[in-house]
Amino acid sequence: MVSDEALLAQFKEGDQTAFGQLVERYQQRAYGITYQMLGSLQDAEDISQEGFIRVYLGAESFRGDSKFYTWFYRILVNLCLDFLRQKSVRGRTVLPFWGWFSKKDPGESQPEEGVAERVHEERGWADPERTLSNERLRRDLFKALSELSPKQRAVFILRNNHDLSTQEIAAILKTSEGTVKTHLFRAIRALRARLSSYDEGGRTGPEGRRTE
Amino acid sequence: MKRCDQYRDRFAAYLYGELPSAEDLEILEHLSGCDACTEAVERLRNWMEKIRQGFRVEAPSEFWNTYRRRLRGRLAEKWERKRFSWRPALLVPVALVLSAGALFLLREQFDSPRRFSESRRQETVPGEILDVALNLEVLEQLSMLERMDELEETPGPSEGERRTDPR
Repeated sequence: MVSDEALLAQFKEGDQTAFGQLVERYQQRAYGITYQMLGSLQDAEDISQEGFIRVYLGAESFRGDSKFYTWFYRILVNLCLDFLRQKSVRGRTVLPFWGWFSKKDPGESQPEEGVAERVHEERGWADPERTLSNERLRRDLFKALSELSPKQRAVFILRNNHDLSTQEIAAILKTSEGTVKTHLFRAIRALRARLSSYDEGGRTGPEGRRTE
Repeated sequence: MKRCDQYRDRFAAYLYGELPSAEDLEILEHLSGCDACTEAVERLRNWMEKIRQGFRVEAPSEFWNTYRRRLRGRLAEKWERKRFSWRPALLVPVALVLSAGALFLLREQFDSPRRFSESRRQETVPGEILDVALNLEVLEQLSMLERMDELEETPGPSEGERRTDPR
Protein backbone atom coordinates (compact mmCIF):
# COMPACT_ATOMS: atom_id res chain seq x y z
CA MET A 1 0.00 0.00 0.00
CA VAL A 2 1.25 3.44 -0.91
CA SER A 3 2.11 5.48 2.18
CA ASP A 4 0.23 8.67 3.03
CA GLU A 5 3.39 10.69 2.56
CA ALA A 6 3.96 9.22 -0.91
CA LEU A 7 0.36 10.04 -1.86
CA LEU A 8 0.82 13.61 -0.70
CA ALA A 9 4.05 13.86 -2.69
CA GLN A 10 2.19 12.61 -5.78
CA PHE A 11 -0.54 15.16 -5.18
CA LYS A 12 2.04 17.93 -4.88
CA GLU A 13 3.29 16.91 -8.31
CA GLY A 14 -0.20 17.42 -9.69
CA ASP A 15 -1.83 14.01 -9.28
CA GLN A 16 -5.38 14.85 -8.16
CA THR A 17 -6.33 11.19 -7.71
CA ALA A 18 -3.69 10.91 -4.96
CA PHE A 19 -5.59 13.54 -3.00
CA GLY A 20 -8.80 11.58 -3.58
CA GLN A 21 -7.16 8.50 -2.13
CA LEU A 22 -6.06 10.42 0.95
CA VAL A 23 -9.63 11.63 1.44
CA GLU A 24 -11.01 8.10 1.18
CA ARG A 25 -8.39 6.86 3.59
CA TYR A 26 -9.03 9.52 6.22
CA GLN A 27 -12.66 10.63 5.77
CA GLN A 28 -14.06 8.35 8.47
CA ARG A 29 -11.35 9.18 11.01
CA ALA A 30 -11.60 12.91 10.28
CA TYR A 31 -15.37 12.82 10.63
CA GLY A 32 -15.09 10.74 13.81
CA ILE A 33 -12.62 13.06 15.53
CA THR A 34 -14.57 16.19 14.68
CA TYR A 35 -17.88 14.62 15.67
CA GLN A 36 -16.50 13.49 19.00
CA MET A 37 -14.88 16.88 19.61
CA LEU A 38 -17.91 18.96 18.60
CA GLY A 39 -20.88 16.70 19.29
CA SER A 40 -22.71 17.73 16.15
CA LEU A 41 -22.92 15.76 12.90
CA GLN A 42 -23.36 18.89 10.80
CA ASP A 43 -20.41 20.69 12.40
CA ALA A 44 -18.38 17.48 12.06
CA GLU A 45 -19.01 17.42 8.33
CA ASP A 46 -18.11 21.09 7.88
CA ILE A 47 -14.98 21.02 10.00
CA SER A 48 -13.63 17.70 8.73
CA GLN A 49 -14.08 18.92 5.15
CA GLU A 50 -12.35 22.15 6.09
CA GLY A 51 -9.45 19.97 7.26
CA PHE A 52 -9.20 18.33 3.84
CA ILE A 53 -9.43 21.74 2.16
CA ARG A 54 -6.48 22.94 4.28
CA VAL A 55 -4.50 19.89 3.15
CA TYR A 56 -5.40 20.57 -0.48
CA LEU A 57 -4.51 24.25 -0.41
CA GLY A 58 -1.55 23.94 1.95
CA ALA A 59 0.08 20.71 0.78
CA GLU A 60 3.23 22.66 -0.09
CA SER A 61 3.71 23.56 3.56
CA PHE A 62 4.02 19.89 4.53
CA ARG A 63 7.78 19.42 4.76
CA GLY A 64 7.68 15.72 5.46
CA ASP A 65 9.53 15.84 8.78
CA SER A 66 6.51 14.23 10.49
CA LYS A 67 3.93 11.66 9.52
CA PHE A 68 1.06 12.86 7.34
CA TYR A 69 -1.54 11.85 9.92
CA THR A 70 0.23 13.86 12.66
CA TRP A 71 0.03 16.93 10.44
CA PHE A 72 -3.56 16.23 9.37
CA TYR A 73 -4.80 15.51 12.90
CA ARG A 74 -3.13 18.70 14.10
CA ILE A 75 -5.09 20.63 11.45
CA LEU A 76 -8.32 18.93 12.55
CA VAL A 77 -7.78 19.40 16.28
CA ASN A 78 -6.82 23.05 15.81
CA LEU A 79 -9.92 23.64 13.69
CA CYS A 80 -12.05 22.03 16.41
CA LEU A 81 -10.39 24.04 19.18
CA ASP A 82 -10.89 27.27 17.20
CA PHE A 83 -14.50 26.35 16.52
CA LEU A 84 -15.17 25.64 20.21
CA ARG A 85 -13.43 28.88 21.20
CA GLN A 86 -15.52 30.90 18.77
CA LYS A 87 -18.67 29.22 19.99
CA SER A 88 -17.88 29.93 23.60
CA VAL A 89 -17.03 33.54 22.72
CA ARG A 90 -20.39 33.86 21.03
CA GLY A 91 -21.92 32.49 24.22
CA ARG A 92 -23.57 29.59 22.52
CA THR A 93 -23.76 26.07 23.87
CA VAL A 94 -20.41 24.41 23.37
CA LEU A 95 -21.80 21.00 22.56
CA PRO A 96 -25.17 21.05 20.81
CA PHE A 97 -26.00 17.58 22.09
CA TRP A 98 -25.46 18.73 25.63
CA GLY A 99 -27.83 21.62 25.05
CA TRP A 100 -30.39 19.45 23.35
CA PHE A 101 -30.58 16.94 26.12
CA SER A 102 -29.76 19.05 29.14
CA LYS A 103 -32.59 19.36 31.63
CA LYS A 104 -30.80 21.98 33.70
CA ASP A 105 -32.70 24.91 32.29
CA PRO A 106 -36.38 24.11 31.87
CA GLY A 107 -36.93 27.49 30.25
CA GLU A 108 -34.92 26.47 27.22
CA SER A 109 -36.64 24.56 24.50
CA GLN A 110 -35.62 20.94 24.71
CA PRO A 111 -35.78 18.72 21.68
CA GLU A 112 -37.38 15.43 22.30
CA GLU A 113 -35.38 12.28 22.91
CA GLY A 114 -34.02 10.46 19.87
CA VAL A 115 -32.81 13.54 18.01
CA ALA A 116 -29.38 12.02 17.47
CA GLU A 117 -30.92 8.98 15.89
CA ARG A 118 -33.22 11.09 13.72
CA VAL A 119 -30.24 13.05 12.45
CA HIS A 120 -28.71 9.76 11.39
CA GLU A 121 -31.91 8.76 9.64
CA GLU A 122 -32.29 12.10 7.88
CA ARG A 123 -28.87 11.57 6.45
CA GLY A 124 -29.99 8.28 5.02
CA TRP A 125 -28.24 5.97 7.40
CA ALA A 126 -29.16 4.38 10.65
CA ASP A 127 -26.98 4.07 13.69
CA PRO A 128 -25.79 0.45 13.74
CA GLU A 129 -26.40 0.31 17.46
CA ARG A 130 -29.64 2.18 17.53
CA THR A 131 -30.92 1.26 20.91
CA LEU A 132 -32.29 3.33 23.72
CA SER A 133 -29.32 2.52 25.92
CA ASN A 134 -26.93 3.61 23.18
CA GLU A 135 -28.74 6.89 22.78
CA ARG A 136 -28.58 7.45 26.50
CA LEU A 137 -24.88 6.61 26.53
CA ARG A 138 -24.15 9.07 23.74
CA ARG A 139 -26.17 11.77 25.45
CA ASP A 140 -24.36 11.21 28.75
CA LEU A 141 -21.01 11.02 27.00
CA PHE A 142 -21.35 14.35 25.27
CA LYS A 143 -22.65 15.94 28.40
CA ALA A 144 -19.67 14.64 30.37
CA LEU A 145 -17.25 15.64 27.62
CA SER A 146 -18.61 19.17 27.49
CA GLU A 147 -17.48 19.61 31.07
CA LEU A 148 -13.86 18.85 30.18
CA SER A 149 -11.52 21.50 28.87
CA PRO A 150 -11.20 21.35 25.05
CA LYS A 151 -7.60 20.11 25.34
CA GLN A 152 -8.51 17.37 27.80
CA ARG A 153 -11.29 16.36 25.45
CA ALA A 154 -8.92 16.26 22.47
CA VAL A 155 -6.35 14.19 24.35
CA PHE A 156 -8.94 11.71 25.62
CA ILE A 157 -10.58 11.28 22.21
CA LEU A 158 -7.30 10.81 20.36
CA ARG A 159 -6.03 8.33 22.94
CA ASN A 160 -9.14 6.37 23.80
CA ASN A 161 -11.05 6.42 20.54
CA HIS A 162 -8.30 6.69 17.94
CA ASP A 163 -5.50 4.72 19.57
CA LEU A 164 -2.85 7.39 19.22
CA SER A 165 0.04 7.18 21.67
CA THR A 166 0.70 10.00 24.13
CA GLN A 167 3.88 10.70 22.15
CA GLU A 168 1.88 11.15 18.94
CA ILE A 169 -0.71 13.30 20.72
CA ALA A 170 2.08 15.45 22.13
CA ALA A 171 3.36 15.97 18.57
CA ILE A 172 -0.14 16.83 17.35
CA LEU A 173 -0.84 19.31 20.13
CA LYS A 174 2.76 20.58 20.11
CA THR A 175 3.16 19.98 23.81
CA SER A 176 5.10 17.65 26.10
CA GLU A 177 4.22 14.04 26.73
CA GLY A 178 3.93 14.83 30.43
CA THR A 179 1.26 17.45 29.75
CA VAL A 180 -0.63 15.00 27.55
CA LYS A 181 -0.57 12.36 30.28
CA THR A 182 -1.78 14.88 32.85
CA HIS A 183 -4.67 15.88 30.56
CA LEU A 184 -5.47 12.25 29.81
CA PHE A 185 -5.60 10.96 33.36
CA ARG A 186 -7.53 13.99 34.60
CA ALA A 187 -10.02 13.47 31.79
CA ILE A 188 -10.41 9.77 32.63
CA ARG A 189 -10.90 10.52 36.30
CA ALA A 190 -13.52 13.20 35.56
CA LEU A 191 -15.33 11.09 32.98
CA ARG A 192 -15.40 8.01 35.18
CA ALA A 193 -16.85 10.05 38.01
CA ARG A 194 -19.56 11.43 35.72
CA LEU A 195 -20.22 8.18 33.92
CA SER A 196 -20.03 5.89 36.91
CA SER A 197 -23.25 4.14 35.92
CA TYR A 198 -21.41 2.67 32.92
CA ASP A 199 -18.61 1.43 35.13
CA GLU A 200 -19.73 -2.15 35.32
CA GLY A 201 -17.72 -5.16 36.33
CA GLY A 202 -16.63 -8.10 34.30
CA ARG A 203 -13.94 -10.56 34.80
CA THR A 204 -11.78 -11.61 31.92
CA GLY A 205 -8.45 -11.02 33.62
CA PRO A 206 -5.65 -8.57 32.88
CA GLU A 207 -5.03 -10.29 29.54
CA GLY A 208 -8.06 -8.35 28.30
CA ARG A 209 -5.86 -5.27 27.90
CA ARG A 210 -6.21 -3.57 24.58
CA THR A 211 -3.42 -4.45 22.21
CA GLU A 212 -1.70 -1.52 20.51
CA MET B 1 4.78 -4.41 49.32
CA LYS B 2 2.70 -1.62 47.76
CA ARG B 3 -0.96 -1.17 48.61
CA CYS B 4 -3.66 -1.69 45.95
CA ASP B 5 -4.54 2.02 45.67
CA GLN B 6 -0.92 2.76 44.74
CA TYR B 7 -1.40 0.56 41.67
CA ARG B 8 -4.91 1.72 40.78
CA ASP B 9 -3.77 5.21 39.77
CA ARG B 10 -1.76 3.59 37.01
CA PHE B 11 -4.36 1.19 35.65
CA ALA B 12 -5.42 3.52 32.82
CA ALA B 13 -1.79 3.98 31.75
CA TYR B 14 -1.35 0.22 32.03
CA LEU B 15 -4.35 -0.47 29.79
CA TYR B 16 -3.18 2.12 27.27
CA GLY B 17 0.26 0.47 27.24
CA GLU B 18 1.86 3.73 28.36
CA LEU B 19 3.92 2.39 31.26
CA PRO B 20 7.61 1.60 31.09
CA SER B 21 8.17 -2.17 30.90
CA ALA B 22 9.39 -2.45 34.51
CA GLU B 23 6.19 -0.83 35.87
CA ASP B 24 4.12 -2.86 33.46
CA LEU B 25 5.58 -6.08 34.81
CA GLU B 26 5.11 -4.89 38.37
CA ILE B 27 1.39 -4.30 37.80
CA LEU B 28 0.98 -7.60 35.99
CA GLU B 29 2.60 -9.36 38.91
CA HIS B 30 0.32 -7.59 41.37
CA LEU B 31 -2.79 -8.45 39.34
CA SER B 32 -1.94 -12.11 39.28
CA GLY B 33 -2.27 -12.17 43.06
CA CYS B 34 -5.05 -9.60 43.66
CA ASP B 35 -8.63 -10.34 42.67
CA ALA B 36 -9.90 -6.87 43.65
CA CYS B 37 -7.43 -5.09 41.38
CA THR B 38 -8.02 -7.53 38.53
CA GLU B 39 -11.72 -6.70 38.85
CA ALA B 40 -10.93 -2.97 38.86
CA VAL B 41 -8.76 -3.26 35.75
CA GLU B 42 -11.47 -5.19 33.99
CA ARG B 43 -14.11 -2.62 34.92
CA LEU B 44 -11.92 0.14 33.57
CA ARG B 45 -11.28 -1.79 30.34
CA ASN B 46 -15.02 -2.32 29.82
CA TRP B 47 -15.71 1.31 30.54
CA MET B 48 -13.14 2.45 27.96
CA GLU B 49 -14.63 0.11 25.38
CA LYS B 50 -18.14 1.37 26.09
CA ILE B 51 -16.99 4.94 25.53
CA ARG B 52 -15.48 3.93 22.21
CA GLN B 53 -18.72 2.27 21.19
CA GLY B 54 -20.76 5.24 22.31
CA PHE B 55 -18.78 7.49 19.99
CA ARG B 56 -18.81 5.18 17.03
CA VAL B 57 -20.21 6.65 13.84
CA GLU B 58 -20.61 4.23 11.00
CA ALA B 59 -22.14 5.50 7.82
CA PRO B 60 -22.90 3.64 4.59
CA SER B 61 -20.97 4.27 1.39
CA GLU B 62 -23.73 6.58 0.02
CA PHE B 63 -23.05 8.96 2.83
CA TRP B 64 -19.34 9.08 1.96
CA ASN B 65 -20.16 9.60 -1.72
CA THR B 66 -22.24 12.63 -0.77
CA TYR B 67 -19.53 13.74 1.64
CA ARG B 68 -16.87 13.67 -1.10
CA ARG B 69 -19.18 15.39 -3.60
CA ARG B 70 -19.75 18.23 -1.14
CA LEU B 71 -16.04 18.40 -0.45
CA ARG B 72 -15.31 18.68 -4.18
CA GLY B 73 -17.83 21.52 -4.42
CA ARG B 74 -16.27 23.38 -1.53
CA LEU B 75 -12.77 22.81 -2.91
CA ALA B 76 -13.74 24.19 -6.31
CA GLU B 77 -15.22 27.25 -4.63
CA LYS B 78 -12.15 27.83 -2.44
CA TRP B 79 -9.81 27.25 -5.36
CA GLU B 80 -11.61 29.88 -7.43
CA ARG B 81 -11.47 32.28 -4.51
CA LYS B 82 -7.75 31.63 -4.09
CA ARG B 83 -7.13 32.11 -7.84
CA PHE B 84 -8.70 35.54 -7.76
CA SER B 85 -7.53 36.51 -4.34
CA TRP B 86 -5.17 39.04 -5.94
CA ARG B 87 -8.15 41.09 -7.14
CA PRO B 88 -8.99 42.80 -3.86
CA ALA B 89 -5.28 43.58 -3.48
CA LEU B 90 -5.37 45.33 -6.83
CA LEU B 91 -8.21 47.55 -5.67
CA VAL B 92 -5.92 49.69 -3.49
CA PRO B 93 -3.53 50.86 -6.22
CA VAL B 94 -6.45 51.30 -8.64
CA ALA B 95 -8.29 53.41 -6.06
CA LEU B 96 -5.14 55.46 -5.48
CA VAL B 97 -4.67 56.11 -9.21
CA LEU B 98 -8.33 57.02 -9.62
CA SER B 99 -8.32 59.43 -6.68
CA ALA B 100 -5.10 61.03 -7.91
CA GLY B 101 -6.76 61.47 -11.31
CA ALA B 102 -9.88 62.91 -9.72
CA LEU B 103 -7.80 65.35 -7.68
CA PHE B 104 -5.93 66.42 -10.80
CA LEU B 105 -9.16 67.05 -12.68
CA LEU B 106 -10.66 68.99 -9.77
CA ARG B 107 -7.58 71.16 -9.58
CA GLU B 108 -7.75 71.77 -13.31
CA GLN B 109 -11.34 72.88 -13.00
CA PHE B 110 -10.53 75.12 -10.05
CA ASP B 111 -7.69 76.84 -11.87
CA SER B 112 -9.43 77.17 -15.24
CA PRO B 113 -11.63 80.33 -14.64
CA ARG B 114 -8.55 82.38 -13.84
CA ARG B 115 -6.66 81.05 -16.81
CA PHE B 116 -9.74 81.50 -18.98
CA SER B 117 -10.16 85.15 -18.08
CA GLU B 118 -6.48 85.73 -18.72
CA SER B 119 -6.65 84.11 -22.10
CA ARG B 120 -9.87 85.96 -22.99
CA ARG B 121 -8.22 89.25 -22.08
CA GLN B 122 -5.24 88.43 -24.21
CA GLU B 123 -7.45 87.49 -27.10
CA THR B 124 -9.73 90.64 -27.13
CA VAL B 125 -7.26 93.43 -26.32
CA PRO B 126 -4.88 94.21 -29.21
CA GLY B 127 -1.24 93.86 -28.37
CA GLU B 128 -0.27 97.50 -28.88
CA ILE B 129 -2.99 98.71 -26.55
CA LEU B 130 -2.05 96.14 -23.97
CA ASP B 131 1.57 97.29 -24.18
CA VAL B 132 0.49 100.86 -23.76
CA ALA B 133 -1.66 99.94 -20.81
CA LEU B 134 1.10 98.01 -19.16
CA ASN B 135 3.69 100.78 -19.81
CA LEU B 136 1.37 103.63 -19.03
CA GLU B 137 3.52 105.02 -16.31
CA VAL B 138 6.60 104.98 -18.47
CA LEU B 139 4.71 106.68 -21.26
CA GLU B 140 3.44 109.37 -18.93
CA GLN B 141 6.97 110.07 -17.83
CA LEU B 142 8.06 110.19 -21.47
CA SER B 143 5.34 112.70 -22.38
CA MET B 144 6.36 114.84 -19.44
CA LEU B 145 9.90 114.86 -20.77
CA GLU B 146 8.63 115.79 -24.21
CA ARG B 147 6.68 118.68 -22.75
CA MET B 148 9.78 119.90 -20.96
CA ASP B 149 11.68 119.89 -24.24
CA GLU B 150 8.89 121.92 -25.81
CA LEU B 151 9.05 124.41 -22.97
CA GLU B 152 12.76 124.80 -23.46
CA GLU B 153 12.31 125.38 -27.20
CA THR B 154 9.59 128.07 -26.72
CA PRO B 155 11.22 131.60 -26.36
CA GLY B 156 10.55 133.05 -22.94
CA PRO B 157 9.78 136.76 -22.13
CA SER B 158 12.70 139.34 -22.46
CA GLU B 159 14.52 140.79 -19.51
CA GLY B 160 12.70 144.12 -19.94
CA GLU B 161 9.39 142.49 -20.13
CA ARG B 162 10.11 140.58 -16.94
CA ARG B 163 11.06 143.84 -15.13
CA THR B 164 7.92 145.68 -16.29
CA ASP B 165 5.94 142.88 -14.87
CA PRO B 166 3.90 144.48 -12.06
CA ARG B 167 4.75 141.52 -9.75
